Amino acid sequence: MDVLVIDDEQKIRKIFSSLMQQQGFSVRAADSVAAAYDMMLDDPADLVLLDINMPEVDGIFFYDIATTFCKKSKFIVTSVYALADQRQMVPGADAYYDKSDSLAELVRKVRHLMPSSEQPVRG
Amino acid sequence: MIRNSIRFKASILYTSVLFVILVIFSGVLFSVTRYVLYQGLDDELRLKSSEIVNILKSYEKLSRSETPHQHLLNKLLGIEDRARLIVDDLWRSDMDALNLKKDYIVILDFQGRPIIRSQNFDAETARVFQEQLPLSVDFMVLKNIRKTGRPFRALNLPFLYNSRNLLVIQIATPMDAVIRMLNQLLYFIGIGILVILGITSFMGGFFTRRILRPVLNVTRIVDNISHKDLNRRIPEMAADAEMRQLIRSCNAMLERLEKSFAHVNEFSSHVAHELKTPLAIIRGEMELALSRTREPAEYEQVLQVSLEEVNRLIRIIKDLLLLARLDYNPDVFQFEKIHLTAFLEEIYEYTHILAEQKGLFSELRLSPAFQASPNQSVIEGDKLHLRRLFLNLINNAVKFTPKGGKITVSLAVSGRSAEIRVADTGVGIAEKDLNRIFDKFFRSGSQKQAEPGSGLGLSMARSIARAHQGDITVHSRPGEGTVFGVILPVIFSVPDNN
Repeated sequence: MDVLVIDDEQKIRKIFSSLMQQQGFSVRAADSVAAAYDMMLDDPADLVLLDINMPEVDGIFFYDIATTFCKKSKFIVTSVYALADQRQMVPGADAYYDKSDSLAELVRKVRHLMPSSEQPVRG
Repeated sequence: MIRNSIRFKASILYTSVLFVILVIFSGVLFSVTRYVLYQGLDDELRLKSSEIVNILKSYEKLSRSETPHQHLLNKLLGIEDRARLIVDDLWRSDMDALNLKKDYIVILDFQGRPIIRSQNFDAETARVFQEQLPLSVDFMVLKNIRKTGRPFRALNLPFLYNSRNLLVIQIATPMDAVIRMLNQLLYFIGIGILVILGITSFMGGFFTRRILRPVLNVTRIVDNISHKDLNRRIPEMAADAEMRQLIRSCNAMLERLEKSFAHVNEFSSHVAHELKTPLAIIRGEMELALSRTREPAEYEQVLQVSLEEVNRLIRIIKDLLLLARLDYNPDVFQFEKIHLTAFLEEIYEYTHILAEQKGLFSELRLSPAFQASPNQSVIEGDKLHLRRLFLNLINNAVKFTPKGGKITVSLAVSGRSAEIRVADTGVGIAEKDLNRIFDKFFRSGSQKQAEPGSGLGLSMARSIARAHQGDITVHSRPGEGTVFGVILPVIFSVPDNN
């Protein structure tokens, strides 16, 4: 099981990567849509943590493209926007996470989508 | 009707203006009528008196042998003679023809002794005449007199009888008819004014209500518009030009309000977004650190990251506050006269220091004319804020220029405006981003920095330039570099020899 973290904020990438590693996933991280696009073409990830508001190409466009050729991948939109706004901006994603919520909340959402992996997290 | 309403005031205004006009008109009408009637009365009196005098004079021939006194005395005493009979007949028929039954007539000698009087001329009448119509042997006199409350018009007319004897005829005629006519006129005028005023105030109210109906409609619509439906507009109904103008102005205001609301909404969401990112990082770092026991160095790392993010939060909040002050409170600027060249050298000093730290070259470009005369151009500006503006530009230039690049600060003056340029040979800005870089929180795609700014630096720079009646421009080519130009008005300048 592997996770792709897409976020332009380096510190967020680092936190999410550490968290996912703790959960037993193999983790890749991309700082832009362009980089993520290459990675997904190369080897589609099982789970994508996708930021919306990024410079250059927005996460919304990435979601539209990636969902057409990586049908098996699950997508969790991670952003500082309120959940209702996120649902409006990227309709149809598998889950939505407000970055200012606790990491345990993110883990719960990840676990919901990927029940097979091990190691619970303390939050 | 509400006392303080336009309708009430308009009605009152119409009515009062009309009232004044009507009163003046009626006053003039009444006076003219009164004058004409009195004139008629006076003419009648004059005619009567001259007729009586003529009749008396016609007796001269009949009584040539007698003195007028004798003859008239004879007449009074009823002495029979042929002449008297003829005269009497004549007198009576003449008097009848003159319709003098209601008039009081007396003929006096020059000392005021009555010689002849009409049948109705009693002692009471004699007293009234004596009191109110003084004898005048020189002039004709016309006067209003009153006898037991009744008004009379009286005439005193001196004449010569038999070319020798000075006599005076006094005659008074009742004015009842004239007075009655005038009273009736006054009554009709009063009633007429009241009726006209009633009709006008009703019509005035009616028309004002019709004219003001659109105002009520507009008020009703505007009353119902809240912040939730600022997209509503007042329909331009079939109204008068002024009303349509009012509606248009209201709609334009609504549009401006809607735009600013949208702007504020967008801005607040931006602010929330910008503030939430550092908080999310702090929370994530802490939660992650607490998820299991860590080495002291790891905790230190968490604190380090948290501190950076807290500083970022503080920077954003400070810049936001400053920006709000710059945009909405022009008093924060303290303007003074600034010599451009001296100021430019100060700016260049910063540039030089910052560029050198990063291993960049720097250059100050001044025309020889500027170097020769340092007082050439003076601007009115706030040194502190201008310094902040240029520091923002220089910091950006240094940040986005790779090692070995070059920052150039230059000055160009043309006429009444000066342009200070900060040019770099850095990564440049994509064309699609150029018109957005002055927006709050906008970060261009090429901005990949270890320590992100507040996203407000260029907004602030533009606010400061505009507060100086200037502006800021940008030209850029990705991969080649960026030029920011700050245009400031020059208040005093020696002609440029270049």
